[in-house]
Amino acid sequence: MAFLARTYHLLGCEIPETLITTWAIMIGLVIASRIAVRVMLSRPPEDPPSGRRIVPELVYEAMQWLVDGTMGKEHRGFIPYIGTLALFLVVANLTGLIGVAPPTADLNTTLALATITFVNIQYYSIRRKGIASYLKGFFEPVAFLAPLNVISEVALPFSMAFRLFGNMLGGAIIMGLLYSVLPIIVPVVPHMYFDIFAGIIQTFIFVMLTMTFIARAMD
Amino acid sequence: MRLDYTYIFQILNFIILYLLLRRYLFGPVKAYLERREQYIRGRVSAAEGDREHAARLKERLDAELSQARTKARGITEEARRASDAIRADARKLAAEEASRMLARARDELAREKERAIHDIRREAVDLSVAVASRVVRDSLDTEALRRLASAATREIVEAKLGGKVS
Repeated sequence: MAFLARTYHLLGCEIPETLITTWAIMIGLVIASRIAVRVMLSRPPEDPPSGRRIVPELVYEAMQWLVDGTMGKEHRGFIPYIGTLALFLVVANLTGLIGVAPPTADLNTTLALATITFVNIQYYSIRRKGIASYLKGFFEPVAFLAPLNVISEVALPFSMAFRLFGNMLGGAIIMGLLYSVLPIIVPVVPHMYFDIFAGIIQTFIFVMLTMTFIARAMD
Repeated sequence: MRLDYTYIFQILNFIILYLLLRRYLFGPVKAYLERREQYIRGRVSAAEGDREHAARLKERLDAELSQARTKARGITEEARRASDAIRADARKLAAEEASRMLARARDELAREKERAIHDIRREAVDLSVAVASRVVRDSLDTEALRRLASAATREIVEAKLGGKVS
């Protein structure tokens, strides 16, 4: 099953392909960021932006636009977090194009990201409302609905994680099956849909949900 | 596909990636964009200041232009009045001069007339005396003849000039 993440053995340790791909993505993103920022800083900010210099600005301003529109200008402090999430997810979702199992087709990855979002939501909710008001919120509108409120809160990271995981794994399985039947030329169009289109759409959905839930917790 | 230690590693990986990108990408880009924003704000503020300065300058120049026009109008009016006065003075002086010249000419004419009358009378008297002395040398003395000639001359002159002669 080439479409599923493999496990490699290195110095007696089992290292899943998901981790290796993730590390490669991390290294690639950090190196690309450093190069892009160095190019950007090669000219003073007073110069009009042009050419390759505007790439990091475009990324930052796209994230700023998303955060401003969804969370409000007062929450621009989330731009690095949302930006990191978006960059990681978009690159991870596109790795299927080079024949690597996307890390997002692994539940460990999507659940890890959803867990971080969940922790953020709870943290900012408690910080905004105070612990007493936060706990009291589970007993509203009536006390006997508290278990349902807790389940709905806990279900949030799982719903986010399984949505992304399911879409990416589904795409990876279909692409794997297509490659096993028609390995030449035919998979090009499905790649465009399952990796590029679905990958970008799923990134957007995950990021939008993260912003919406955190902003709601802070209201 | 099951949950295992990869889950913990992925959480750590994401946190590390977040810290690295915040340090090497989002932080520098944010600072860079803030510097640019500050620069643009400065330029906009300077342009606003220049615009206000230009408006003040224009207002001042307009006021000065208006003052200069008023002043020029005043000077023109003053010059026109002065020229009118000069013309009037010149006309008056010319009239006075002409009047004086006319009076002088009349006086001169009167004197010349008087002198001419006197000369004619004397000539006439001398001529009459000379003629009379030849004709009536024996019966009249010279003084009587002179009186007679003078009376005759006066009559002649009065008859010729149509006025009384003293």
